[in-house]
Amino acid sequence: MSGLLNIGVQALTSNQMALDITGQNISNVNTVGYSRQQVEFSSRAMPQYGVSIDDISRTADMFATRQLWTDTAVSAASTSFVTQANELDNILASSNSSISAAMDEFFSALQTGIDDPLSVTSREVVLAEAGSLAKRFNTLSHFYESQNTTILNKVKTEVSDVTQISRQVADLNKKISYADARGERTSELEDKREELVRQLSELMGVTTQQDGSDINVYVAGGQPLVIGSEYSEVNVVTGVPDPDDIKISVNVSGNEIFIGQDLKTGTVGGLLSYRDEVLVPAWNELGRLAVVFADTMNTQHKQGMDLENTLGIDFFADLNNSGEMIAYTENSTKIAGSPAVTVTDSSKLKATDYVITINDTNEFVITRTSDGARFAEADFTEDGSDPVNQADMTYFEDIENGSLRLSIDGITINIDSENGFIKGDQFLIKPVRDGAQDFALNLTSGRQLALASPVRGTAAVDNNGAAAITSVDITDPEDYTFGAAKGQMSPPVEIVFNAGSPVTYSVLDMSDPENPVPYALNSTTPPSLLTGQEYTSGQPIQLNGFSVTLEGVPKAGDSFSFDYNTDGVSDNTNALKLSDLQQAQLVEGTSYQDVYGLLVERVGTETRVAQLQAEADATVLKNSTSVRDSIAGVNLDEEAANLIKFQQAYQASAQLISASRTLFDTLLSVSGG
Amino acid sequence: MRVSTQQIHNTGLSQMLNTQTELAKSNERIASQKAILRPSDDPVASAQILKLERELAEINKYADNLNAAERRLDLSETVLTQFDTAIDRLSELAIQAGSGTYNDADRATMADEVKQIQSFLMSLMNTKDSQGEFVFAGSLGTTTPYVDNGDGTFTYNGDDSQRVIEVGSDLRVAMTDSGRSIFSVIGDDLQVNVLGQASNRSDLATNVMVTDSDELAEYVAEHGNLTAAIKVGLDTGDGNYTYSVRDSSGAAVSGEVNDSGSAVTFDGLPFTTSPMDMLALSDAGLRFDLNELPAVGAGLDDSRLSVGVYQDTPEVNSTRVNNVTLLSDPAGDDYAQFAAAEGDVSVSFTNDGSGNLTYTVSTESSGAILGPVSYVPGDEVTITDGVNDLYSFTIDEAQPAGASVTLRAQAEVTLQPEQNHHTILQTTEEFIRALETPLSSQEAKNSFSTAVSKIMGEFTEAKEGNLSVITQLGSRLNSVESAREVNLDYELFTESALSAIQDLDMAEAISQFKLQEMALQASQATFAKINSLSLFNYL
Repeated sequence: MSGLLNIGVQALTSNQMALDITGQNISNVNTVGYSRQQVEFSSRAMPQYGVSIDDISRTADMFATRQLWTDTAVSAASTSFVTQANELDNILASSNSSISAAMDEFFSALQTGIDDPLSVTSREVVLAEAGSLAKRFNTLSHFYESQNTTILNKVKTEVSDVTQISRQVADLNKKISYADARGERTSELEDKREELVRQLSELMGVTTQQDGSDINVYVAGGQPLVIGSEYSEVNVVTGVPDPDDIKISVNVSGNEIFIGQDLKTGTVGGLLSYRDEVLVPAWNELGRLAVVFADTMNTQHKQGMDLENTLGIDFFADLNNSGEMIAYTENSTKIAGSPAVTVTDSSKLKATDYVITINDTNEFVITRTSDGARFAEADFTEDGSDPVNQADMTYFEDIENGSLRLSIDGITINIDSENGFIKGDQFLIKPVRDGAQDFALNLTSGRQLALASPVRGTAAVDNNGAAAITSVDITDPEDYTFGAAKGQMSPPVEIVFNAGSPVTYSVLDMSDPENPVPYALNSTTPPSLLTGQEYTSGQPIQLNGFSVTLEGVPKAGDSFSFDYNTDGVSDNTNALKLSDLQQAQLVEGTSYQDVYGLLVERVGTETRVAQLQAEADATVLKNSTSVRDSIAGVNLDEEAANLIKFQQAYQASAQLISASRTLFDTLLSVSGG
Repeated sequence: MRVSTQQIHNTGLSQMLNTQTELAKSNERIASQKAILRPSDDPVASAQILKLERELAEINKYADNLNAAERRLDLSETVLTQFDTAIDRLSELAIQAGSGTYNDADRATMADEVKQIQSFLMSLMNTKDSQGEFVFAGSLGTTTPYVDNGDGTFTYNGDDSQRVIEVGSDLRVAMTDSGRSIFSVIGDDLQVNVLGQASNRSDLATNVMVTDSDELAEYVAEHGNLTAAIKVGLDTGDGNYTYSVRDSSGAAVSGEVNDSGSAVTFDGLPFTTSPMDMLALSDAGLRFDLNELPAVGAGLDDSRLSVGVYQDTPEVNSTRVNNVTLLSDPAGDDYAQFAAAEGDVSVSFTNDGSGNLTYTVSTESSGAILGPVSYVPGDEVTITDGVNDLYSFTIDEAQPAGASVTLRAQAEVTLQPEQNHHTILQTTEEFIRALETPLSSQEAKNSFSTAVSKIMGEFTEAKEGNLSVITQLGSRLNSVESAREVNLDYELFTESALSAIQDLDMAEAISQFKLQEMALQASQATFAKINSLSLFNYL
């Protein structure tokens, strides 16, 4: 009889507990990371009978949870990647920031200069359009820079979150192991810990390991973040060596271990991947376009003559020395003087950074970061003859005294250090990164536009043959021919054809028009007199500082004279040549605007791929969330059913007690009666 | 499968959000009427759009250039047509004047009209465009092209360049012409310029006369300029001097000396008369006096002399000896004395028997003075008279054995025939002067009619020149017109290609929008329905 009472009381408390747990489940239906709990009843054997609560189990599947963590990390990476990529994509889509459209405007303005080179108005229009092109370059470069800054700041914030969360995970590990030891329930703590690990995954992508009641967390291929109740601090280091770059390190028992390269997942991984794979290449590409554009326009412009009868100056600011070199802080020696990165041949320029390392055998190795190509000293030829104009793939070095000079991909790098180099010294070279930022107009007045050719070619009026001057090209505006006296050519030149076969010509120095003397070509050693030279129609005749091309068959005595184009203000020859550059294949065999088109296409493709990837990753994440939720999530209908079930059981259990009392009363009345 | 309440909620929610995103995108597309909003929508098409837009910009640029070219060419054509009318009137006047029926007063009136026409012509030739740029000055747009010198002649101050602009890819059209090519079309008489060192220029070749212009023009076209050189060498009995006349290929030319009646080749001839020989080049329609130099030691100084380089083996190019530099004092006569004593210097090449090339420098009197020396390219040799250096030269190319080069002291001048042209302005000036000269005598009448017939001829020449330029302008205008048509076709083609890529198919876009709208409504309805289903409703 007391058995029945006991059974009733046990059933009552057990179902009471079940009702409590149902309540807990219902109330946490919207709690993030909550795993539903279930009461496990078991029947008791003789002699007590009744029911007991074996366990209040946490319905969670470790595999599903781990899967969720992994997928969260991957999806967070692709989401953060795509968010940034979309921004760049949007900027490139806007016609207000299109470099290509600005170039169209510029070259179209140049046409008005070609139509009417004398008009100061049309010259000013050319300058205005050039200025707006410069602004476009600057604006787009500024966008890159600010996006880079945003990414760096985001990474810093998130990395400090990582340390915070790691500490909490370590703390929970400790609490859970204490609670475990005391036999207390840990469901809620475990839920909280799992949610924190999920957050860590979202930030950085972590791997975990269950060790007893502890969860150990590792990052970037095995660096410990949390071991039991200990956690490692994660730090961000900027400016080593590149101020535009950051490095992430884990402090493992006092040692800073850099993990940047191995971080591929989580928001931080996504941001860093975007920066390395999209932003920096696009940045360098734009910079290279700016450097090549400025260099080629300047070169052509300097071959022209302005309204003041002087040779053209730089059209845009000279960017050939805008490259930057940074020595690593770990280096044994400091840079002496100003390091020089000089563009020597802009047509070979690549949109990339380089890293120079001094290796174990005291030789240099240069790595091109865009494609990872490595060039060892053995790939270069030694040539110390000229500090600036060295041919590609030549070098000069003096390791002990710390000087190194090498030329690659159209740039020449000069490093001078205070002491000698030792192995492990590293230098970062950014030849074109700042190109678009530094791109600026150099001319200040439309009158400075050198639209005319400085050389005027005239065929003698009484020429009998069919030969005509087809072009005059300035090959070196700094030659003595143009440099000896401003606004003059020294000497004026005449080409006279001789009788006989094959057709020959002589070049005369016309300094004294009444006493022409043979003309000496100075580029040969010793200078050679150009007399009796064989004539080939259409083949350029190289003179000092310029070349002329004649086409057609001349007669003996025909002459062509070349003098400075003084007051040739209506001449548009150089403007036409500047205009021709729009179509010319100047950037590694591609035209300016095609390079920009390729940049847009590449960013577009990368964004498109990233969008698809993000969608796919989100679907995977949704699935693994579903799997986890379908196991651990609370279903209100289920809980309602349970509520009914446990309520009825509770009422029935109460009836047991009531029945037991009735039995007792009956017994009392019988014995008492 | 077990489904948690969260899951039901999230699934419904994410479905709605996705459909809403799609709707927003469709909305953006419809509003902008563009199929491609960002490069990522279709990267390849985006690059193509950039390319097509660039092509369109280029076509527009060409269209602007075509207009500019047409404007310019039209202006030139207008000017030249007026020019043509003015020439016609001048010809008319010349015919009237030549008829001999006008008295001096009538002719003076006529002269006034011609003056008017002349200044009109000049204003046409100095036409400026709307920007104030001279149209016919070549590249010297701010320089007045034709200027009256006040002496009946007019100078052209422009140059020969034409302004060229692009009117299509790889199609360029000249939009201007220089005044010289249009107006300076009336040929002057041939003249011969004498070029050379100042002292030689003034007294070496004198009394240069063109006896037959046509022959000379023909001769020059074949032979080029002529060079007359007097060599200083050993005394041959007729003195130290012999002379040669060569054409531009270096070949000696022939003619008569002192009208002897028989032709000789002017190659190393001694002077037959003093102080000069009269040379007549009958083939060339040219004659001149070649004067002897002052005797060596008696007034000949080195400033008149140069080093002539002659190859003895003509099949080998003469540029073997280079950089000949005179070192002697121009005011002294060391070089002349040396040449008179030693004669020519020659450099000859031999093989030394073991395969090495050697050279020897020798003079006519002394024989070898240097060598044989093993040949090294760029070898510099200096010739001295024992006291002073006279000249130096370098030997730059590998020589075949047996070749030799002669270096000769000589005084030379170049005879350069030249034909200039003048404009109708000068002819008009002559016409005015002829009209203003009173016809007092028969002689005056005769010279007037000669002048008028010459003037009429020149007017015809000017008219012909003008017409040929007008024809050229016409053909250029035609090519501008056809370039414009090609451009228009190309523009249409490019625009339709661009539209096919970037423009939105409205019908499709709107029906898709409708579909997405329905999908959204459906998800909203199901979301509300499912979430309203709960067991708790029944408790």
